[in-house]
Amino acid sequence: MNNYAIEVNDLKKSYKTYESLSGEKVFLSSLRRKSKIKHALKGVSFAVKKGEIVALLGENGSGKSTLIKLLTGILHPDSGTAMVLGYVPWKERVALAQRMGVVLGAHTQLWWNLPAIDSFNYMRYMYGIDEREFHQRLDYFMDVLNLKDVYKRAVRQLSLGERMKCNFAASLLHMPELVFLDEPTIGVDLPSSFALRDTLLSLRKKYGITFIIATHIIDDVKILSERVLILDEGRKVFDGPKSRVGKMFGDLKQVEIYFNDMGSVDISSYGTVVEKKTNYVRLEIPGGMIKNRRFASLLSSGRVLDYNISEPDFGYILHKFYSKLEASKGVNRRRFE
Amino acid sequence: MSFYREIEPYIGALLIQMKETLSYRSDFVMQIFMRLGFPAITIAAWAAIYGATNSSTIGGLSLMSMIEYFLVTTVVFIVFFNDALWDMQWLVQSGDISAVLLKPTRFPLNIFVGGTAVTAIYFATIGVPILAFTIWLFHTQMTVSTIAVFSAYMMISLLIGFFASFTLGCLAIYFIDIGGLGMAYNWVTVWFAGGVVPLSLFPSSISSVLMSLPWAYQGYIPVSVLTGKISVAAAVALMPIGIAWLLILFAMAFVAWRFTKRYMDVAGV
Amino acid sequence: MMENIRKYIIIFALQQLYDWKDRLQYRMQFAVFIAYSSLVPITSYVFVTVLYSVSGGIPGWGYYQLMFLTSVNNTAIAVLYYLFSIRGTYDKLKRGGLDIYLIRPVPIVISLLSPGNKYFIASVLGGIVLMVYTILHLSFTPIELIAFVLALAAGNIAYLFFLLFFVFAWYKWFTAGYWMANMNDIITDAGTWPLSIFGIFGAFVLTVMLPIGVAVYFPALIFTGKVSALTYIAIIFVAISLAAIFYKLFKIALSSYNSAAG
Repeated sequence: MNNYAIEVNDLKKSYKTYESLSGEKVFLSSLRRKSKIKHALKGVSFAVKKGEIVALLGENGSGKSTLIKLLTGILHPDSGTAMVLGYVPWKERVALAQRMGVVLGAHTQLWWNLPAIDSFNYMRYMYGIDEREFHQRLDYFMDVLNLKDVYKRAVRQLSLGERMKCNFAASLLHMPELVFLDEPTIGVDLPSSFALRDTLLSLRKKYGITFIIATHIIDDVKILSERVLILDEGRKVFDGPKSRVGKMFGDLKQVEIYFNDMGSVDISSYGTVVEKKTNYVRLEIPGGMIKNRRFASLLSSGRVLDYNISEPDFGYILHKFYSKLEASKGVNRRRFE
Repeated sequence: MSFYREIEPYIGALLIQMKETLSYRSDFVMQIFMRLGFPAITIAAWAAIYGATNSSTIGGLSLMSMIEYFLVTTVVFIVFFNDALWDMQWLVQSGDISAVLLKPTRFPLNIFVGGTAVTAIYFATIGVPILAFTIWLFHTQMTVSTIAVFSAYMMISLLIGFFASFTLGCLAIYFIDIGGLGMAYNWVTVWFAGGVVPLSLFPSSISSVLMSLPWAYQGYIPVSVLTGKISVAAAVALMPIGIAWLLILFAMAFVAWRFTKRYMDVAGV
Repeated sequence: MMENIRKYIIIFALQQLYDWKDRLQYRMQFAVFIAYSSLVPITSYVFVTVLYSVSGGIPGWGYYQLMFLTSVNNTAIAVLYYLFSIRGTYDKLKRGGLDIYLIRPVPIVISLLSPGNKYFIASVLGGIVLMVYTILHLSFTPIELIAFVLALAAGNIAYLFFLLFFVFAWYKWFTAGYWMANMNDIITDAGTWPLSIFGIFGAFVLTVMLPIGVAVYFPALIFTGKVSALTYIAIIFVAISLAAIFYKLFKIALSSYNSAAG
């Protein structure tokens, strides 16, 4: 039995785009334009085991959405191969769609003017869900996503968070084996985001569903995934446990120090200053600095009110990662302060 | 504020709308061809009809007169149709109406300028060449008075079209989706303006009623002025009725917009 | 296979049901649009009547024959508008909205037959009434009736696949496509008339390249007794062939869909 939900080999995809030449002359500048080939994916290869949760990361335009659309059969690649649950997505789209779910943040599956329950019923028939199971699953999703007061109202009257949760439920009602989520929590309020993430983790634990999440939201990565796959300009630049991203920059720790009186303390001698305010500083220090006598002496001195030592924020680590990437391309990125 | 400063935003809106119309080159070019399609089919049909008719005239019009009529109709109807209703519906449905209302410009003028920009482009690229071709082919008498009266009627047509469309467009605030109303309005008024069949072909009891409605002043009368079926003097004599309709529709648009603005304030749009 | 077909029929029917529910949320729009789409067959009736009262009409076509052709055109086009929206499909292509259809476990054609204008049902019904009215004044045999129905169905499927192919292909090559709705209006306007008035070249274009001829004119020819029985088979065969060709071309055009990114 194949343990892999997804196997991708050297997938490539390009688009033709156009640049309009701007100018003062109304007509000529509109009529003249240059065509450009954008290489969205330049040969990406990876595999995902069944039951994994993988976060797909990358800056805007890195190829995340293109990759998801190729793996769901929406797009056809220029070259390369992919097998998703044993299907070639762009050739066996209908059969694959029966076993996978897709949550697109930018588009909804729900009928705009109708209550969400109508869309859920439609999904029931579309995926051939048994009536008893349908009601059980509906009750489950309405309960965990707190939609009991919502799903009988017209979708257009719902808040963005409520709509996203309904869309999420609609896409998962048929309990697919593999789910793609393309920015599912974008624009969603905090309680709804937590509800979505909790549901996702619960489904994975209970049913062993594989999740691929394309996201910019750091909390999605921190809470949900063990593994990250980072794309940059159409190439895979990192694939592995998220803890390994931080380890690329050495054994770093983050320290927050609240001073009584900072005075003339040369704080930068202990590490990299990430943030500095009056009587407050956030430092990035090498792991060994914790045992440094001078540093320990500072922390236990009367100058310091309180301090907190922790692992570096993953968002900050990711920012360092992107900076390093840009630097390797000869682009100076402004230091984040 | 100086006069130029007052109108400067609208000049900017006019230019950017023109640019947007031309941004999809193939769409623009194909729209030009499509506007030539209807008269081509109509002329082919009438040529066949005249072929089957014993008389050389139908409703007092020879085949050549009929062809001339429909060619000029193609030109006039570029101005006849106004997109104010569709623009307003789109703004309401997309929610962008808030952004437009926040601008330091008058909303109705914004809509007018946007629609006029598109009309101007298509008139320049389709209307003028067809008009020139028609004048050349049919040796149309283009005296100063004919041009003046025709131009005046085109302006009346533009404004009547805008005011009527804008009035209906205000309903978008209340009903959100008024596409059906727009299509019904276009369908009916094309008939009433002589866009499908010259009004002279209708029984006189019907054509006299149609001639007193505003759409005759948008379509049939300017076409007939240019094709010589209505004399300049007669057209000038009819003009006060056209202007009266213009003023009535202006008043309707004015009132409709006031009610709509009040509704938007209350509804929090 | 039979189970899949049954499933697709149910999904299609459900789509229509929910689309109607969706549209009926706007009652004023419903009333106005039903009134408007009822006007279409009425104005066709008026137009043909006025035409034959002031002239000899079209050579070789009597009043009821032309009225029948017009009513077939109205009905066929109304069914097309009821099911399919060129502008709606183009908007989905432009904004990546087609993605939602492509993640469903149904053939995309079924999903694309959803966004049409439901209010054209009034036009469909009005067109049928006009058709029945004219049929009562024409003589026909049962064979002609069967051949007409088959040719009409095959021809309209061919025209639908042509539109699907054209919308997707044009979007792929040129991106812009609002003009296609106007093109369809012109083609269907041409369908109101016998193809003979457009000359041999025009008739060819409107049969093979822009197949309104197989959707409207040739089925109507069968019913008006203007062609032989052998021609019935030829008409149906050509319609089915065109349907197959345009469907294949549509699938090729669909494979180059780039969503909102391309």
